[in-house]
Amino acid sequence: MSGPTRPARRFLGRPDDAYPGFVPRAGDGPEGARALPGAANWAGRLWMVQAISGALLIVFLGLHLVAQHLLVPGGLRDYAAVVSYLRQPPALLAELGLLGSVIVHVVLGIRAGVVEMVKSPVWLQRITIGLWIAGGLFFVYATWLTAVLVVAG
Amino acid sequence: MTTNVERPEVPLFRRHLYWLQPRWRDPGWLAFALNRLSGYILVLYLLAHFVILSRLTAGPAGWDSLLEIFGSQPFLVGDTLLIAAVVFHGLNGLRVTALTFGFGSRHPSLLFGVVFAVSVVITLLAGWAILFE
Amino acid sequence: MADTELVLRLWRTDGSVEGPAMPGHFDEVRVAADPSRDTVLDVIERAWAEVDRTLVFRHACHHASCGTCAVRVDGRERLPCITQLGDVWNGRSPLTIEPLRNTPLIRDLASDPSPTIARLAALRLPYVRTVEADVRAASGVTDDEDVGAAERFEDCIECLACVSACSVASGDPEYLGPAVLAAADRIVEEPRHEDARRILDLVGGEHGVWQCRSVWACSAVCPSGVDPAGRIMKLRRRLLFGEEGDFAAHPSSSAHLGVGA
Repeated sequence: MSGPTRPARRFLGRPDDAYPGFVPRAGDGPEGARALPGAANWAGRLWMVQAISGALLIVFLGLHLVAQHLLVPGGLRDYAAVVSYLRQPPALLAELGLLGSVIVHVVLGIRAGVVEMVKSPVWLQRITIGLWIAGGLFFVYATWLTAVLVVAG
Repeated sequence: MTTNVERPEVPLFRRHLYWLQPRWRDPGWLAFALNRLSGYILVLYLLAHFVILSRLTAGPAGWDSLLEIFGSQPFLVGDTLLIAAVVFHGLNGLRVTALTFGFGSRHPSLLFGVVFAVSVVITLLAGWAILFE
Repeated sequence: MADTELVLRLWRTDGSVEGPAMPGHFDEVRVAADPSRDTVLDVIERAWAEVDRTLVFRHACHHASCGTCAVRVDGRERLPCITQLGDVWNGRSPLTIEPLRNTPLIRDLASDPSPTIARLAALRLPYVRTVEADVRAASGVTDDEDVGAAERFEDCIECLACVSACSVASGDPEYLGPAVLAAADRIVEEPRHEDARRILDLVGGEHGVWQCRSVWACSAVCPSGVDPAGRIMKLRRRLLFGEEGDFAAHPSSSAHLGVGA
């Protein structure tokens, strides 16, 4: 490199990536570095899942807020009211639907912020797995709690 | 005042807040920043919500006494703010999805305005319902 | 209109360009200015010529076709060569001139476009388009007259105002950016001898079209009507619903490229 131009190392990863004539491998970004295997396919699908879970959340969360606060005198359910509510099958399904949508949306939402910040694809993969495991644990716990309330009351 | 001019190898702890650098003349920046902030707030709230709901395992004795706390004014105000966060986050999500599917690309500012305005209206209605009923 | 005195706050870098960091400061420079006749580039050049010849800034064509001079004027990305001073200056306060964001800085107001240019080169972007519809509309031709196809240069002048305006690019240096993504959509729309599938593969990753957060600042600041934001969304629709988006094996015909055109 000569002259006042600095090598664009930070953006492209390697100095020799910065010049015309560089032909990226199929599936690579222009940087020549792979994010994740099949990333070009996955990113759009993850976005769709995020959008769908968000749309479902609007429905389920709306139902949840109406059922838990607007339909209840005083706005808050006491223990007996919670149990009797959950024992109605439609309500139970709606709450589980809410749980599933929110876990998916939160995991993908946090991951979207992480993608922006974390440059190493290996760490991105580890964090993604960690997020899904955490989400799964929350889902299992909340389902167990619901089951306990419905059954044992 | 420092400007966001390029420096080599900006460390992550600084770079990760660059999205907060304001662009007041672009309403889409405000929508993006508020969407992210409301998302963070809602995630934290969700964790707190799980913790609170676990008190149901303590039966009526453990749960019903909490209701007085949750019905108190400070909590109701907090609930209204949460409604604001979730309503804005959801409406902005609809805006982003609509733009991706090609609706409204010629009127982005109009879309932002609608999202802000509807969020304010719903929050006010919800706040009235929460605090005065 | 008589000349008034303008205070220009110009970003100046300290230290040599070879050094590791580029701390800087603002220089306040006083020049005479006529808001109704001067452009912002005129006053920058006047500051260089009359006050401080060490100021480094980029300029070439002076008529918005080269894209060289883009800077931030009071925080907003503009081409100073076509920005009339009276449109951006209230006549009293200092006017702040800073270099573009999200691009490496060479010195003072001159930034280095090579990362984005290199990405455009990796896309093998052709700079000439065939635009039948525009020619017809612009010349008021009715349908029964045949004007054929015309060729003209791309709208995009690679000024990088959009890259500077992008909130995502500031946090994520691997984000391809609005200029590159808009160029990719233009190639897919009119591939000429290019393989549209290759382009979609390049931009469909995590740091491609899916990183956009719909701020729309890029389209707002573009001086050439490129609408990068709209094109990014178009690319998303091609990836989600177009045949190429499924990466199904079929000849790289450019004729049918999904919905949302």
